[in-house]
Amino acid sequence: MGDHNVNYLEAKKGLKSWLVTVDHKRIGLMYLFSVLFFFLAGGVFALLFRAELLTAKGDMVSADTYNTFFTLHGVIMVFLVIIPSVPAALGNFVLPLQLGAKDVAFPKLNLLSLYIFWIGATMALGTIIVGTLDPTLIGRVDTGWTFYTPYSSNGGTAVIWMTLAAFILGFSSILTGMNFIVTIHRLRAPGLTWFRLPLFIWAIYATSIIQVMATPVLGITLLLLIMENVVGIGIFNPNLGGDPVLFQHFFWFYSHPAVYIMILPGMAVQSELIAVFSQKKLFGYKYVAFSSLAIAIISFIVWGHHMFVSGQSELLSMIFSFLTFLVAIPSGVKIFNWVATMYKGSISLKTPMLWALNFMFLFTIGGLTGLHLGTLSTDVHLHDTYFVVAHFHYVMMGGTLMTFVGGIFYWWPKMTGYTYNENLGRASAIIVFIGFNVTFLIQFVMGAQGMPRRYYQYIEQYEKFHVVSTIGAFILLVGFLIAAFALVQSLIQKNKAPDNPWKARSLEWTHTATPPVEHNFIGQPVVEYGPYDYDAPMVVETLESLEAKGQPYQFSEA
Amino acid sequence: MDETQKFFDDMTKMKVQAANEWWTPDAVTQAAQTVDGVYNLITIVCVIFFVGIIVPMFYFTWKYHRKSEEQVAVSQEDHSTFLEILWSAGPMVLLFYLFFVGFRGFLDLRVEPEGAMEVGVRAYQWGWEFQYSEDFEGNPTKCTTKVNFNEPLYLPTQRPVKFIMTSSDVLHSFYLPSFRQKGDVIPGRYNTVWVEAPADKADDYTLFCTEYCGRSHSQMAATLRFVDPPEFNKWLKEKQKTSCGGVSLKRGKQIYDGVCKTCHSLDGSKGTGPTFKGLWAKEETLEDGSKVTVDETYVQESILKPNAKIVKGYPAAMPAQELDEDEIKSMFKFLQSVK
Repeated sequence: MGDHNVNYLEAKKGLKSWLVTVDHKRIGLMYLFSVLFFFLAGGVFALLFRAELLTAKGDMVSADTYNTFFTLHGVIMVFLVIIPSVPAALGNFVLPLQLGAKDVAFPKLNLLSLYIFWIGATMALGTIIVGTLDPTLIGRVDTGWTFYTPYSSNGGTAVIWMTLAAFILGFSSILTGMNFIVTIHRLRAPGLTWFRLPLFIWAIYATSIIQVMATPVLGITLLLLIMENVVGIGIFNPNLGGDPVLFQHFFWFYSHPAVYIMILPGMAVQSELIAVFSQKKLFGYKYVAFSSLAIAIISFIVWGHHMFVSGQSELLSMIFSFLTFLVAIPSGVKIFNWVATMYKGSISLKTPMLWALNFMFLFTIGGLTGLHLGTLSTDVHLHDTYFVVAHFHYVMMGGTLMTFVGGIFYWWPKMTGYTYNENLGRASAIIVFIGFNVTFLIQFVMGAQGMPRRYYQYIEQYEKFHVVSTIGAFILLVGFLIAAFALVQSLIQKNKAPDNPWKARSLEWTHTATPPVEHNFIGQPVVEYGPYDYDAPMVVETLESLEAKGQPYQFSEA
Repeated sequence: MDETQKFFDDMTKMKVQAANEWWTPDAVTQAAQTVDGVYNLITIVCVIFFVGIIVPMFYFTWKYHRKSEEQVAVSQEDHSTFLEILWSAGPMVLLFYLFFVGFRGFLDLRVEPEGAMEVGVRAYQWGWEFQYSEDFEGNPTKCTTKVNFNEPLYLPTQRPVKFIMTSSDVLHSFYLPSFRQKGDVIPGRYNTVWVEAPADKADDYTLFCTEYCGRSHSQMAATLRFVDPPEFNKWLKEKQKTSCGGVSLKRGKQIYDGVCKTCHSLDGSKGTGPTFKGLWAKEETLEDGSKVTVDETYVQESILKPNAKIVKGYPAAMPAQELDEDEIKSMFKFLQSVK
């Protein structure tokens, strides 16, 4: 055992101390670097196919290679980057600290989640590599991240392996979700009532509920695919009497809630950033908190809006369209409250805040263009065109990824103990903002003009739009490289960060050292105020310090 | 592959007419114009909300910018029930309205008027086949007249056309941007969409596949040529001559151009499937090492059950083809002719 009062990075040394650690902070960091590695890989594939799309004719790579590229990009970004980004990487690091707990409720289970994540990721990538090297073995993985049958099952068993990989990855998020739910219920510090929880916790709580409830559906789908392939029972395959559209229902019954597994954590970080960098109480705290839960609940009953033209009944489409409009309300409530929080604040434009403003701008566009797609008659025209591609990049990348990077810049001093070059950080946020809009804004136009998704070749009249989009993709590359450079440079320059550089009021900044000690806190923190009470006096008390003052903490009867 | 490649390159020359290339393509039908009306309405709503959110955001950023480290927030006002109700209930009214107009337009797109001309559509990897069984006046054709997407597919103006669609293999999607019309094409099921071009809109329109279906997904583009009813009838009569014409080399060539060309070359080059050059009567080695002579029996089996006997070195990629006896016999003639 190391000394509990030295910082967690130095408490133990060596590779083994990382691989068998049960420290949530170290597990969070390992998730973080895994996710960043996959983000690089997914990004490289995006740049490769954007380069192919520079000209109308398919001339850089073959159609098969192009199809593999966009599948890789989608699978990696969805399952290996966005889903684990905030909850598993930042959530693991931050959540117990914000609760005033020594660790999550089940530390060993937490380590198991990480290993399961690595196994699932290896399996997903392995399937793609094997499928690409020898397509006759299990079939090429060129299905797009949606794996629609019967195309995905005609070529071979790759769809089963990929679903298995997604299910294993899902298991990792089920375990993490359960762990977080129990931790939030049981390990809150004395005085940390539900309505004194940072909103980060509320949104992660809502995310965890979806993870635990939706992911099992992937398991059912997997079981049905295996039954069809091995036993020959017709479920999805029309040649055996099955129905391929049924697969879409199963797929979206998981994957639509998964969309909220992706965006709610982004909103979680956003609430923190806006409040801290405005030094103001978060406006409409309870509305923001409950809108997370409302989004979580509604997310389960809107999956059919992916299938308006799939041949499902018009009545079903009508119901799903109606329910889809409902989800706009809680999302809107959040946006309005964030803007209201900035009103009469003391707004500091540090790097994390710039990423938060990126989120606000881009996510608003993403959310609003969802109206074109939720509306039945316009969706018929726009479905499976670049309009959809632009919409979900504005939501997923403009939403979740912006706050993920913003969150990294926000908690980086806490994680590493070092500060980064503020100018580089700001420059990266601005360049990414420009690159993002150049890449994706034009795709709304392409989609409205009828350019279908997943096209290797396209008609020449779309070429000029694609040129702009590809240029934007490379601007994005520059922006993210500058961000990476700023972070790496901070590790080399080793400029020591203060304990609370942002004047935040949540426990990870007020009650811990930077970086935190191995067991997070010296003594048990006690909470006297809400997480955003910037006007209240700064109170840094623990049970022990109160005891020493002769004013022991009064536990309430409840 | 040369001939196939040329055909694919031609796809890039197709057009989706758009007077305003920054907005939606030219609308052909009344229903499409209604869709555009909703599209414009939603876009205006989006712009209003966007400005309403982003302008205050930038204004606050400028106005309440922290000028010194010690500066604190001017106010700690943290809730307003009035505002919360306003920005939940206000948009809700608007959203219900959007839902309603969207649903109305959707019904227009989905429910075809009485007396529509029915055209069968069969999608396959990778192409479209149209099946005509009546002319403009509704008189039945001599046989189901099949026309393939490597030539323009004719349709009459001034009469609703209902496409009854199914797929031979995987999911496809039938997308006509100029008509704002789309429907998935599903194996083992029928899905329908309908369009009607007015007399003054006789023109060529592009058909795309919008459900990802594999290697040549992006080449599943076809030209739909809407013409005056008499011209349509004349064209259909012409097509019946070959389509209902029994067994002929010409018909075999036509089937080749429409269906086989994507994967089987005529010049000896290797495609997704074996070349047809010199194939007839040749001895092929199969996957399991056994040998088979390419004759009537083998060719018929390969058309109807393509994956029963796979030639060594090729993937089991071919979908089953729905050809009748005359069509298959025409293919024999064609294969015999490719020396």
